[in-house]
Formats: sequence, C-alpha cells, structure tokens
Amino acid sequence: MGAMIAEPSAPAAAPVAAATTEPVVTVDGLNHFYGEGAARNQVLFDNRIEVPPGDLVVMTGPSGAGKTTLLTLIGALRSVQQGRIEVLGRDLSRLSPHGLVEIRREIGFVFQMHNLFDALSAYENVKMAMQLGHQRPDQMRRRGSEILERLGLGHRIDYKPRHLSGGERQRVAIARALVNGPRLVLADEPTAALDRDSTRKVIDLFKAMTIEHDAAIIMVTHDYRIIESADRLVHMVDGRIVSDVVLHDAMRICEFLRAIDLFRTLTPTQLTDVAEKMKKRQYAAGETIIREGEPGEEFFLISDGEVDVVRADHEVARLGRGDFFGEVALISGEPRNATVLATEPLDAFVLGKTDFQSAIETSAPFRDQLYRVYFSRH
Amino acid sequence: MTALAWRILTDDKGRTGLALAGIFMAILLVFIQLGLFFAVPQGGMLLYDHMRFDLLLVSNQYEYQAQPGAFPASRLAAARSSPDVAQATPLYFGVVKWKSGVGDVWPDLFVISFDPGSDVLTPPSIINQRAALMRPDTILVDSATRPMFGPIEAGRVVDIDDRKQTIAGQYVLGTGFMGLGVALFSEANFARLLPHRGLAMVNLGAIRLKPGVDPVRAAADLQKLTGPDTQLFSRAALARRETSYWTTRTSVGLIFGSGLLISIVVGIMVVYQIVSTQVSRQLPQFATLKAIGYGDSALAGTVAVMSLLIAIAGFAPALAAAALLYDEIREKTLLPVTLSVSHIAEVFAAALVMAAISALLAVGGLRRADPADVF
Amino acid sequence: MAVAFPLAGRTRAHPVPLAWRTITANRWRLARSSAGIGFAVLLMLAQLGFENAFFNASLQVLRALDGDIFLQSVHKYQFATQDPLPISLLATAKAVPGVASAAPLYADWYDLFWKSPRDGKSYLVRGFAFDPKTPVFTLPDVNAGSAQLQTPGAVLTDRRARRFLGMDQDARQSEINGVKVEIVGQFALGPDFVSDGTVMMSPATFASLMHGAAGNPPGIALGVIKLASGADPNTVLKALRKALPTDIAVMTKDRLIAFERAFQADVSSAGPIFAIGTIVGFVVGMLISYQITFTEVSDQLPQYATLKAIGYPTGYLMRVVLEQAALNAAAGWIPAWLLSLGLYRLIGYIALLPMRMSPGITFISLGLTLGMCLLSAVIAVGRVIRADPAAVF
Repeated sequence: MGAMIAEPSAPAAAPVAAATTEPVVTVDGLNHFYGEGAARNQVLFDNRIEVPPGDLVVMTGPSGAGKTTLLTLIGALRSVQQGRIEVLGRDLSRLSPHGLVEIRREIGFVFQMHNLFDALSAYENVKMAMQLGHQRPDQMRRRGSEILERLGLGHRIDYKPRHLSGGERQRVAIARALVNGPRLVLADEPTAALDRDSTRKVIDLFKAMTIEHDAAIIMVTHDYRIIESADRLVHMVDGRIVSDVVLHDAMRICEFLRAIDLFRTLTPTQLTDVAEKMKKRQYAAGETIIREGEPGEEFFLISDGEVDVVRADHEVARLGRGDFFGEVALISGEPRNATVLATEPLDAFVLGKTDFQSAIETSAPFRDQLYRVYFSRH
Repeated sequence: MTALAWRILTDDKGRTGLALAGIFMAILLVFIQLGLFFAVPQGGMLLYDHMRFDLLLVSNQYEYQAQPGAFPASRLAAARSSPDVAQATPLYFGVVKWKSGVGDVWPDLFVISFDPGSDVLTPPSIINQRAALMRPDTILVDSATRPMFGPIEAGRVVDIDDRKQTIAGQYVLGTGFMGLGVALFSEANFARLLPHRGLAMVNLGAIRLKPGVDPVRAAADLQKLTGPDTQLFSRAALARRETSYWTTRTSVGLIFGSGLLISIVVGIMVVYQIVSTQVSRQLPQFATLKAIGYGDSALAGTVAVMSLLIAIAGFAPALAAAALLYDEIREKTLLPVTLSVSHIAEVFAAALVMAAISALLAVGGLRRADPADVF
Repeated sequence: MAVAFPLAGRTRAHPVPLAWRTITANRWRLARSSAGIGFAVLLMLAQLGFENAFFNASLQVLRALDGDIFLQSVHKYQFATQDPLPISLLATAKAVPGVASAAPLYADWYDLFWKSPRDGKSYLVRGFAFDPKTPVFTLPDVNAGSAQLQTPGAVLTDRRARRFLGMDQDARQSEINGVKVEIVGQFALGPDFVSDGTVMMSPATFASLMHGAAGNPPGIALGVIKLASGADPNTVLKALRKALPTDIAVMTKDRLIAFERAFQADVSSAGPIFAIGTIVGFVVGMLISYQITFTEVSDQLPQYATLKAIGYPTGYLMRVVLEQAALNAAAGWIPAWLLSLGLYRLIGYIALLPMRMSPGITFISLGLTLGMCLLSAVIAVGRVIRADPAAVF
C-alpha cells in the first residue's frame, strides 16, 4: 500500500523546505468551555483537524458554531483547556505565556476589523508587523512596498487609514498579516469589505502564499469566491466539525465521475456524495495496485498517472487520467480478474466496497449500465 | 436637555467621576487661593476687629495698623471736646527687645499700650485679665506669640529691654502683621519701659460717638478739630483702606490674585477637557439628534447643562474639603483664613463661570457633529 | 519598561514611532491636551516661582554682600532687626591672621522715612550705610556710585523699589526724616517682605539722618570680613570666634543666607502655602493627563489588542502608553515653561518680586510634570494590560 498522504504535491522550490510534510496545525480531541462552574458552557466538542503546509482551508458554519473559538485557539490567543493543539511543531498547551507570544509572531492574523492605527501610514502599519519578523531594517521599505503593490495599494503606501476606503484598509491589514511570510495564516472574514477586484487580488495573494511559502491558511469565510479556490472545506455546527472535505479533489472526482457512463445519471448531489466518500491515495511507479485472484474490496479512479492492466502476464490495457478500474470484482463478487500496476507515480481516488455498492444502488439504471459497461469491456 | 445631559453623565460613570474629581480640585484650589487672598487683609484687620470704636483717629502718615505713624495726644483731647464724642481712648505702640527668647535669640516684641480701665480691646480674655496690668511691670502676652519667645506662662518673669516684666497671662487675639510676638502694657508700665517714647505721641485714637451720631458726618466735623496732620476713619473706610493696602501695596495680593486667576483657568481646562471628550465620544449620537431635527442651541444647551451639573456636583465636596483645609492652613500659617458666606458665594460663582466657559469651548466641538455622518 | 523588546537587535534601526505618531496624528487633540496639562504645569510653575521669589526677595540683599565671613549679634534671628554691634569689634577682627579687611555695614529698617518724589508723602524705607572706601556690596551700580556718597547727605536709591516711593523717577533731591538728601545714583535691588525700598549712604549721612549726629553711628548691623588670599576660611572662622566675645556670631556667607532662609521658612509658612498650590496643580494635572491617556488608550484598544495578537509583548504596549504620557508631559511642559518666563517677567515687573526661572524650578517642574503624566499613565495602562488579544477576532 502507498503512503496515505492527503496533500497536493509541494512545489520543489518551497522556501521553507524543512519538514514540509509535517502538518502545520494538528488539532486532536479539542474541547473548549466558556464560563465557570454552573455557567460553564462547552463550545467545542472533540475537534480534530490536521492542516498540512500549502493547504487553504475554509471553515464555514453558522455563527456560534465555534469557528472563531477554534481559530483563536489555533492562533495561541487562548489557552488550550482540553485536548492537544500543535502549531508549527510546538504543543501549545505546554507553552508559557511568553512562548505563546513568540509563536504568534510566526502566524499571520487577518481580523474581521482591520484595526489599523489611524496615526500610522499604510506602510507603517505593515512595518509594525515587520518589526516582529526577520526582515532586515534596510529591506523593510522594499518588502512593505512590494506586498502593498501586490494588493493594489502601490499608490497608497504612505496614506493614513483615514484616507483609504474600507477595502483598502482591509488590504493593508492583510498585507500586515502576510508581510513576514508566515507559515500559518489565520483569517476571519478577510474579504467581507472587499469588492470583486480586491477580492481577486487577495485570493491570488493567499494562493501565492500557499504555493510560494508553502503556507497553510485557515480562514473563516462565507465568501464563495474564496471557497472556490479553497483546498479544503471544514464545516462546523454547534462546536463540532461535521465535515472536512478536500474540496479540490471532490470537485475533480465529480468531474471525472460525470464523464463516466456508469455515473452519468446521478444527480450532482449524489455525485458529490460519492466524491466525498472517495479517499485519495498515492502509489509509487511499479507498485501493484490490485492483484489477480485476490478478493475485490475497492473501486479506483485515476486522478493522475497511468496503469497497466495485466492478465496472465499479458498487458491487456493501459489506463490513464479519468479512467477507472476494480469495479468488476465488486459487482460480480468474484476475485480480481487482472493485476493492475502503476507505471509511474499514481494519484488515485479510492472508494470502498460498501460505499461503491450503496452508490450503485442509488439509481435503478445504474446496475444495468454497469453490466453493459462490464460486458462491453470483455 | 437636562435629562439627556444627566443620561450622558450617568452613563459613563468612570469619566464623570474623573470630571468630578477634576472640578473638585479646581474649586478647592479657588477656595485656597481666595482664602489666602482675603486672609492677608483680614490679618491686617485683626486688631481693629477686636477694638471698640466708631471712628479711628490716626496720623496722616498712617500706612497700616502696625505702622500707623503717631500724632500728639492733644489731637485726641481736641476730639474729646466735641459734643458728638462719648469717649476717645489712646493706644500706643512700640517695638522692644524680648531678651528671654529661646537660646540667645532676642526677638522683637510688638507692644500695645492702653488704659486697662477702658474696654477698648474687646476679647473676653483681655477684659477678664486687664486688671492685672495695673500692677507694675506686669504684662499680658498674645497666645499666638511664636515659640521662639519661650513659654508664655503666668508668673514667668522675662527681660524686656533690660527690664524685668512679669507675665500675668495669655490673651487670645492674634499677632496678625504686628510681629512675631505681641504684649499688652498699661500706659504706666509702657511709659516706664520706654521713657524716651513716653505718652505724648499717640498711635491710634479710638473714638466712640454718642448714640445716634452719624460716623461719616462726625468724621468730617472732627477733622476740623484734630487738624491736618491727622485723619479719621469710620470702620467701613478703615476696612477698605487696610484691604487696599494689603492687596495693592504688597506682593501678597498679586501672588494670591494671580494664583486665583490661574486656578480658575485650570478649572476651565479640566471641565472643558472632560466635557469636550464626552462630546466627541457622543458625536454620532449628537449628529443623530441633529439629523432628526434638534437645533444647535438644544445641543449646546445639553452641553451647558452637563458642565453645570459637573460644576455643581463638584462644588459641595470641594466646600467640605476647603473647610477642613482652612483649619489646617489657619493652624500652619496663623493667617485668619475663614470660610465666610460671601467667599462661598464667590467661589460658587467662579465654579459656574468655569462651567460656562468650558461649555462654550466644548460647544465648538459640537459644531463638528454633521448630521450627514449618521448614514 | 523593563520588558525588553525581544527583537530589538534586528529592528532597532528605525522602529515605527507609534507613541509619537499617535500623539501628533490629531493636532486639535494635541493642542487640547497640551493646553490642559500646560495650565496645570503653569500653576505649578507659578507656585514654585512665588516660593522662590519669596525667599529670594529676603535673601537677595545677603547674596549681594561682598564678604567671606560675617559678624553679627548672636541675638539676631533675622536680618531685619536691630541688634547693633560696637564698631570696635572690627579692629579686633582685622587683627586676626588671614583677615584682609573687616568693613562695617550699618542698616536700619524702621526709622528712615523717605519723602516720595511721586506723591510728596513719607514712607518707611530700608537704609544701608557703609564706608565708601570699603564697599560691602557686589552690586556694580552701588560700587560705581559709592565715591559720590562721601558728600554729606548723598544717597543712592533703588530703582526697583515700589512705585509709590518714586525712586524710579528722575528726582535729584528728596528728603529723609525731613532732611534734604542728594540722589547721586541708583541701583537695582527691589523690595522684600519687610521693606518697600532701599537707600544707601555713607555712615556719616546715616548717623545724621538717624540720630541727628555727626560722625559714625553708634553700632553696626553686620561686620563684613574678607579673607586674605590663600587663607583657610575654617581656620580664620575659628580664630575669629576665639578672638571675639561669645555674643558675636561668626558665620560664612552660606551660613548667613541659610540662617535667614530658615527664619523665613519658619515664620512665613511660605513653604506650605506654595506647596499646597503646587500639590493641587499636580493632582489637577494628573486628572487631566489621566483623562487624556485614558481616552487615547480606549480609542486604540482594538489596535493594541491586535498588536498583542500578532505577537507584541505587553511590555511593548506599556512602553508605548508611557511614551505617550511622557510626550504629553513634554507637550504640556514646554509651552507652559515658555509661558512661565513671560508670567515671571510680568509678575516680577508688577509685584517687583525677584521671579526668576532657575534650573531648580525647571527640573522640579519637569519632574513633577513627568511624574503626574506617568503616574496617570500607569493607572490607565491597566486597560492595555487587560486587553484580550482573542477579542479581536
């Protein structure tokens, strides 16, 4: 079996190359309470989440669901009560108050309220953050201007917030959060005050952060323009994480599934259901994915790469991106009728037997179609 | 308006508390400066306040009570001859060396000499003990005499200008600006102590008029009898004269006067600072009121009421604190700092003026409330 | 402020001057707070100035004496009292090794009536007399005019005397105790709390005015001794004490001044009176400053919380607030100090008081101003310390 790593491939030239495979944020068994004694009120229930570098995670959910609480806990702005939070390899519950302050410097915060100092220019507000980072003083001006330019504020660098529009202020606040190239960015409704164009610029910058700096971004937002670009969608209700979807993959799966005759008649909702149940798996070149004669347990959809289908040592087919295999044994209940080998590094989406079977139960024509497909291939 | 002002003030209790503390200190400061300002002329009036007279006959060289100049005793006799005059009593002053001070010190003693048979000096402690002055070389000493004179005890024999004098007791009047120590002598003892000085020259002539005689008219008439080297003061004229001397001829008036002025300005600054901060914090609310049709004057009225409420609320505790502080100052400085009704009224007026001016300044900030800003 | 800014090493170059920017961002507000604190400071400066002037008025004549060691009666407790010493003492003093000269100063406070050229009335003035050949004052005008005092009836008058004495007028003649005097020159000294003005003359003129007699007056107020160059003051002091009778106090100039100061402080209660004013100014200033800092802090609380959230230690924020308070103090103190120069001049001119700005007043007022602003900032800074960085989300 290949390594179960649910991460998009990291760019080779990531500036912070060390430990890129370690999750930036690990939350495990996190409970949180507000109030004391009788007034004690649990707001987070057994939260678990793991965010690898380069992920743009969007958190959604109704207000009061605990999103902001979770964000402030991850941001070391509150102390952990129960459970474990690891941020950038450090266990927050073991850090001293001073340690918490230190780790906050490595996190970029974007708040709903921009909270800029009215007395400071856009650049100086950004510089307030740079002073905490690793910028050399003589590079600060260049670096500050650069990031403000990328956010479309090149002509407003020395303006006071009073002379900026709401959107411009918010972008200054975003520049302040991102200027030190943090490996983790926490944002709360960062685009609420922005127009379309600014939102685009902000999203581009966030995406660039994930790619160039391998930064992980956790963002509370209901702005669908961001959700579109997100890698993962975490949905919270009443203090619980009710779904944690690798959004990018699910959509890709849907696209693939829609192209397959088998699933053509499924409604988008049903497709999404199937997609959400599929797990991403990676195989090295030459690795055997299924072996002839073994019982069939899973259905495979190729996301990226190629496989050879070999029956009795004869290559019978070569399958690529968007193709699928492994369905016959699941439908017929017989052992695998062929061996499938990865010819190059392979990304595949895998659906378990039970889920596959319940999926094909969903629509009546499905079974017939499946048989037709099955027999047409033989 | 009042209701709104009240609400704004009670809404932000911390800030209002600060305002009260500020105005309290400012009013207290005004009380202190005013108290000191008036204490000085009152100190100058101390002896007169304890003397029985309708008109005071003095030399035309008269400066103030302790430096009155002198006139021949015959002038007083001339006054006595007037049908208006019931009594004319001379007082003699002198400065002598008290050679029984603490250590080697020989402090100057201010001496007041009068006829112990007369009731020209009114403090009960003098009336009760004046008979003792009839004894040769026997004196009464003011209880406020400074410690450097040594213990002021009945029976103590002291050396005054190389003459032994026996202290018969203390009396309560106060030393005012007469000196560090004051003693009462009978005329006979005074003449014995200062043979060169004698009794030919009088310092003050206390004239009592017959009942029903108008002091002002009598003064004019008497002036003809006493001659141009003397002058006559009614009590009221004397009070004016002393007050004017201490407030204009010395630095004292200017020092406490300018202190008074600065404290009023500081008071204005405190109230203004607080009211204007309130106004700028409530600017959106004020703008809303403007938007719904309140006029500038109604809003200005609210600010004025706020200032007045603060000033009035700060006044009462300041008055109480001033009463306590006056006692303290009186004890420390021996100045007759007293809380008279007129002072209270004056300070209250000053508090209102401070409130009014600071409100006026703060209303300037109110004009910035733009009703269009609400949206 | 002990909390070090942890990254200072890297960023010290030009950190954002947050406190400075905050203070200067709103000029109107700055003017308002500057005026508020400034007037409180002015109140303190006025009180300190009065206190200083009060003592200086009494002490300036002693400071103007040109001598190293002084002789006066042990019975004397205040300069302005008559405790004359026999002039023969000076001969004894002069014989003591190390004494270069021993000159007499005659003085009177209660017997000289000066006829004012202004209104023709007579007023009590202070008179000093000294041998014109051995001047005892450092006042240049006095020494320049002293030669002319040899003429009988010649006097120098004080142009800073109270106006009603008319000494500031150009009169060449007047009367003292009914005797004609020739005004041969002027000097600047000013009144104190005993005398309204001063005249200076030769001992002979003094004797004739005081006692109607020719020759020297019967006793001196002060013996003014100058040391020979190289003589040790302490040795001479001891030698003088041994040579002179025990009822003669022998003291250095510093001691003489300190003695008078102690008397004035004891008797006048000027200290407590002006201290009350200074304290009230301090408390009022603290209230105003607290109000200002509190408002500044409350207005920026979300910003401070944000700084905390992004990793600034509380110490940095405290420092910023204290810096703001210190800047407010400076913004109030500087104009108040400048204004006080004018106020001192004005009061000095009107009241003829030696109102002078001194390094002492400057430092004390600056210290008090900083103290009141920082103290109020320490109270106001609690809000910043309690600012919850989690609340910014």
